[in-house]
Amino acid sequence: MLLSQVVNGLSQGSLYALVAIGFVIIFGTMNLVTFAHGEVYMIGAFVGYFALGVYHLPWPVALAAGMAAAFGVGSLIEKTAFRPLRGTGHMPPLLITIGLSIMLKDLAVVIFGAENRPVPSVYETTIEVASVPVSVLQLVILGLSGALVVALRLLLQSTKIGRAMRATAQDHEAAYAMGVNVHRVFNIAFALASALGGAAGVMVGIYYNTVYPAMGSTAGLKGFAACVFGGLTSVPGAILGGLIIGVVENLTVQFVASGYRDVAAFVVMVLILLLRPQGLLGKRLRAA
Amino acid sequence: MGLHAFVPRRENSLLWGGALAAALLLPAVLRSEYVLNIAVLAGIYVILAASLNITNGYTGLFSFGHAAFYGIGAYTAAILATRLGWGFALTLPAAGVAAALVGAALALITVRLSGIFLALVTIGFQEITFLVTLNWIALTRGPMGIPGVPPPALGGYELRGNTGYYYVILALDVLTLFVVARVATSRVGRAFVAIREDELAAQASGLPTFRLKVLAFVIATFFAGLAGAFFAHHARFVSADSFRLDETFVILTMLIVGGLGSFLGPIIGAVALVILPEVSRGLVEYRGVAYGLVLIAAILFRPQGIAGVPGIIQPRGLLARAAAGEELAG
Amino acid sequence: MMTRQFPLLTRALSLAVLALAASAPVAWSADPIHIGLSAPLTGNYAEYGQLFQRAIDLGVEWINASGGVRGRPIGIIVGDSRADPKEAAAIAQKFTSDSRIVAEIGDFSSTACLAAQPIYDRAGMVQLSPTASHPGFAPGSPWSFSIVGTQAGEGPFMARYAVQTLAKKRLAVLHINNDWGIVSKDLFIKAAREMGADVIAVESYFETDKDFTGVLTKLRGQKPELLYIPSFYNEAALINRQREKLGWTDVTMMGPGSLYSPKLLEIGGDSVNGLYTSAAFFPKDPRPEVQKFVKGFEAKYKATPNMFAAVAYDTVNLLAVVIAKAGTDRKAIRDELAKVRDYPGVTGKITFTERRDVVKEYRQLVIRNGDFTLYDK
Repeated sequence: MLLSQVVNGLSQGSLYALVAIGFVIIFGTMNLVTFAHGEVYMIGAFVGYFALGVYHLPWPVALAAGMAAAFGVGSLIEKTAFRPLRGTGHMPPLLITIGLSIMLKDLAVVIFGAENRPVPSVYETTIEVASVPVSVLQLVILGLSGALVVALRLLLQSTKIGRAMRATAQDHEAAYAMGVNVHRVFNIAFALASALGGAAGVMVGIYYNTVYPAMGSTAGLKGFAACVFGGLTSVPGAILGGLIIGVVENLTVQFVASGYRDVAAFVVMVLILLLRPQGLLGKRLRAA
Repeated sequence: MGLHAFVPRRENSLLWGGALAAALLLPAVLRSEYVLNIAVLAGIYVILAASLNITNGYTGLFSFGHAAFYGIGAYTAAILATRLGWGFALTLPAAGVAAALVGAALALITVRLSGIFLALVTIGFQEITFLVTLNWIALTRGPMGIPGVPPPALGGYELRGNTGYYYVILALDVLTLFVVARVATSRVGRAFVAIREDELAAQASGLPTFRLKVLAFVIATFFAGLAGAFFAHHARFVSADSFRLDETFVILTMLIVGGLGSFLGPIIGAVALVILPEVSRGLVEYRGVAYGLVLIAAILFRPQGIAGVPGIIQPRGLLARAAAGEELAG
Repeated sequence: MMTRQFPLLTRALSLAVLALAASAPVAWSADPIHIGLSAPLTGNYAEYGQLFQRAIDLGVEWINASGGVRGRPIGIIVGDSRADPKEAAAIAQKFTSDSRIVAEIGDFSSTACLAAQPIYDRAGMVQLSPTASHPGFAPGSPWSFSIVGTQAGEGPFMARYAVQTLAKKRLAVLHINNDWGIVSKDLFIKAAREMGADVIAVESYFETDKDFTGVLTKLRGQKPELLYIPSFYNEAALINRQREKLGWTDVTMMGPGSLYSPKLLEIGGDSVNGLYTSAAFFPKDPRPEVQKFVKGFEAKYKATPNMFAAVAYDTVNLLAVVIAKAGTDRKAIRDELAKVRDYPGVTGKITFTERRDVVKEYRQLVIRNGDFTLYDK
């Protein structure tokens, strides 16, 4: 029972982690918070649904399509909404993301309709590991999340743009003064974060066999909760946070009450913020 | 002198008196119950935006939990009214005090955090409050909500039409705005602004910044609680889904579009953003899209808000100035 | 004078006039009679509000095509409430201030209906909800009516199905944590216990949850024979999918009529085979009014209607019948509505009790081979 719940928690947690990493990238590089991440995730999920469910393309293609769409939307948002407000602090960009969130959610209902769409199953089989049912899909998702994180790390460590991102995260004024095209870096960072969100959306759609316009609402909040484990700037911290929250939620369901599931995530978040705001693995983005 | 600096003072008291008189005569002009209802709603949001302005505007704190205090006020009033039979005259202050007590407790634990950390912790508090309200069935009836809250009554005469409610909310607005104006122009208000502008410097110059920040929360949450009590007796049915993070966003956007840190800002923002969704009902399914677009446009073109303090949102840093002026090569 | 001398001519002339009149298109010389519709057209419950709107539009189309009510067409004025109590109240203010509107249909959720109730009550306008099942709603005001049938009827029906028909003794419940879910759970459990069953576990989920693996794992540990799930069809589909993924196949699944929808099959796939449910509205019901509705809905919207569409369809037709008898005075409509007896709705016979809700009849259903079928045994 305990082990089952832990497995459940790790699967859900890996999806939270992907969303959380997106936030960390945005906050770490641009020092901004976005409340529209859930909607970018939803757009990715819908594109993935169309690719997989309507055009019957293989799921890796659907994943790529969802990520590409989210990347594009993210880049557009950054260019039109964040760039003009460069340097005006936290509030105005945050407000814009609130406006975007409202707009995109309702636009999705207008364009896609309000109903849940059925996403076809991928990897239906369930295996038994130590008498705990684990679905192959859960393993694939864990693997994929891991792969995306490794890819991200490679990007940050070994590519020119990655180095530019790290420099910008450390001190964007200095980076600018040194000739780094900070505007481009911000745009790519935001788009990249959005692509990760889109990936999470596609995987959630496949995992739960459904996508719908309101699906982004809670994803964003849980993503925030996960970020704080990394002091908002550490990618490994965000991953750890996502996994921990997933597990804590399921253990709460098992040992406390199902109604308090979400409370657990937020209580943990508040405790970390109060007791250790730099997070459990509080390091800066550059060392991630 | 810009809109942002407009505060009731002896010099412009004629203007404010005129505004008050106009407000008093409004029901005679507006005649329709439906339009009066919108006026009442605007009145509630004026209190909510103006009180949020104390923490988020004047003091520069990022509180995202305001709807939770609104809810605490509403539930306090509803519970006292339906279980103990208290009238509005008693539930109103009780609601304010309850919200302020929780606000003080929250502030004591959290104001040492700043910026995004404070924002996240208040979001966490907001969500936790919502979920606890939903689950604590013995106290709040959970998802069933609390129906049957009686309207305010004066000597046996119960408020029936919206005209009565309008005058009550107008009175509450005057009270709130009076307090806000006094605070804004007092030493405490200037201390709040000093904290917003540069907290370290404020500390260095001897201001008790911790206590001041807690005070800001207490004032803000007290008035949010009052608004909640009014809501309970007006809507007469209280349920947790009226007080979620979305509602905090509504109040925050009113404040920011109207103008953070100014006296007129919350008033303008509340009125504008209550009227907008009502008049755009004709857009039906595009209403939300239009609302979002208006918000985005408002922030892009006037980030400090309609009546906001221009300096509050000044592009800082050479990067920002570059974005505002020159273009980067490549 | 001429008519007496030429009776045949007169008859021919009369017939000719009648024929001409019948073939002319109906030109409305009168204003429409307006009915307000308050429902979530955007937001988290948009799916259900849009179903209301579609079913009502279909009903109105047919009513108007056959001459309208008292020679006037019906017009629907729509307000998007997002199932938000505050919006529903604002719309109520709008509708009651509009003298053209004679009655209101809505809202979807009980909390929205309850928030709007004092306004319709004070202004004196019928508030006819297709789906409000909060037991305090309809009795709360003489102007409030609900036709979905409270759980006071469906709960015991489902309990009988589970305990007596299917002979299950160890029951568990997983319900949505809103007012409808709580009432459904309470009434089911009460009836089931009275029939001698053991309810060994009760868990809830929050309306936006989509991951049930935690709570399903917990319930599985209690080894119930039957799991009753008062939920909407989207979540029910997910619950079943995840139950299958967990490999928990030795439990009987059952849910109330809210599950009745083609979407349950679409999203749930194979995992919902063997699920027991009920319906007051069943598209395969041979009654002519049901078939007419189902065929018309499918033709117009390319989808089979579910219970939510059906109840909305009944509300507008019911109002049309009542207005035809009582006229357009708001109070007269209310009084006539309260007297409705045995109206043949597609969701069954509608008779309002003195509490202004309806006692419905249900059918036992089960899903076999990817389709809803009547349970026979």
